[in-house]
Amino acid sequence: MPLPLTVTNLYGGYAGQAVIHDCNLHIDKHEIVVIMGGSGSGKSTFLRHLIGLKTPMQGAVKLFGQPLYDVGEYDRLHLLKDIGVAFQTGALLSSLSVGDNVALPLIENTNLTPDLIEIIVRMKLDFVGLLGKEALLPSALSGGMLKRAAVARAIALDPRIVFMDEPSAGLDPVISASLDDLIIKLRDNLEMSVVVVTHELESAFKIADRIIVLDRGYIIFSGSVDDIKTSTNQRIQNLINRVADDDAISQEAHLKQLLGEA
Amino acid sequence: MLSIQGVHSLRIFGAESQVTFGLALSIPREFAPLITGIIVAGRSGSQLTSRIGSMQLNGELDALKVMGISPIRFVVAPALVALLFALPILVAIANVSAFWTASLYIDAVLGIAPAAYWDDILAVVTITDLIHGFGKAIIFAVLIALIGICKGLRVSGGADRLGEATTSSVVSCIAAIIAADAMFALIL
Repeated sequence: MPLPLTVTNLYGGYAGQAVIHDCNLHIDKHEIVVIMGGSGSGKSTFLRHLIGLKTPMQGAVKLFGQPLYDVGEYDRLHLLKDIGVAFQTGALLSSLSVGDNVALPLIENTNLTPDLIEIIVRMKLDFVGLLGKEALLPSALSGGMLKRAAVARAIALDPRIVFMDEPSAGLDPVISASLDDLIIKLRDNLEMSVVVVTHELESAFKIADRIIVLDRGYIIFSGSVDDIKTSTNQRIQNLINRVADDDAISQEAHLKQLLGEA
Repeated sequence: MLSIQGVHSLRIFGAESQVTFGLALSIPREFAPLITGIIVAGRSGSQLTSRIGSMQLNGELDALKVMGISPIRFVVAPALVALLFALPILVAIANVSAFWTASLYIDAVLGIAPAAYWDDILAVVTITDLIHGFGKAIIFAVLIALIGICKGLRVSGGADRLGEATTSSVVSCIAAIIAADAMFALIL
């Protein structure tokens, strides 16, 4: 069976300017991979390449062994039905109720009857702890509920891989922890692979089977939580110890900068 | 307005009773589709840009794509089809209301009874005039939909850009409608 996701020699960016450089990655079945990095490291751009929203400048992205980009629009849309994506802002359609948002991929991509779709919608909302909120509009939901509703929609079609962009961003620690538990449930109960983009260290250490660190568009680390904690790479230490790069330079180098010798 | 101006102008030549012919020639071919197009551009063109731009900013269009749903089919096509149906219907309503309000004014000012007024109108207005007006309505609908949607899809950044795009959409729609109307007048 092909891997859920394979990325080979990926270069990508905007207006001909590469932001992602020579990235290679694979995601195994039933694995939670966390992509970390500071602001501007290219995490979100990398994610957009993985989910079919941005054509790479070079390299390949394969979902379940099928190329995501060197195919027609119809084939790409068909392939994307096998993945689920929960965006940072939720990206629920504001004109539809929560229930209708979750039902949308089922209505558009399956031949299920409305009664069955209604049952599936309730099951998905129950899974994320939002049963009974079907009739609410997205504007009536709190930040945490929006993210949960986005997860419910992402898993509506029982995808084999789910991508989540900054699931904990802007949430209080308690809600954030409950979302971490939800991500672990996706792997353990639904046997999905999950790719999470985040800069929340605590969350990453709790949920990750494997952590990928992006720095200035390069993957500089791939390994387990224990591996990253013991890494000797200075930039990774800066990241996990929350030290800004500017503060990390030596006093000697700083002095040279002041004297104009650097 | 057309009947008021028509009576005022034709009175100079003592021909104010002929105002009905002017109305019959200009309302279905020119004014009903043009004014309706401009009103719909202001209302629906701006709404389309604002809705699609806001969907773009909120990532809703991206969400549709990753669900395997084409935004063109889900968002763009319904708006285009709705405008293609709505604008000709609105032009028909504009025709009827323009002729009807003009009849009230002409009855009050010139003493021409509504029955006589409608006889004159129906004697002059042809099916070709109506088709001409509805043809314009369809072209205007396409212009409003395309401009509104394109402006919305190009929104990026923040809410201030959305406001700019919405304003720009209305101005572009109205300019395109007037230009298309002028082309119609020159060609047909």
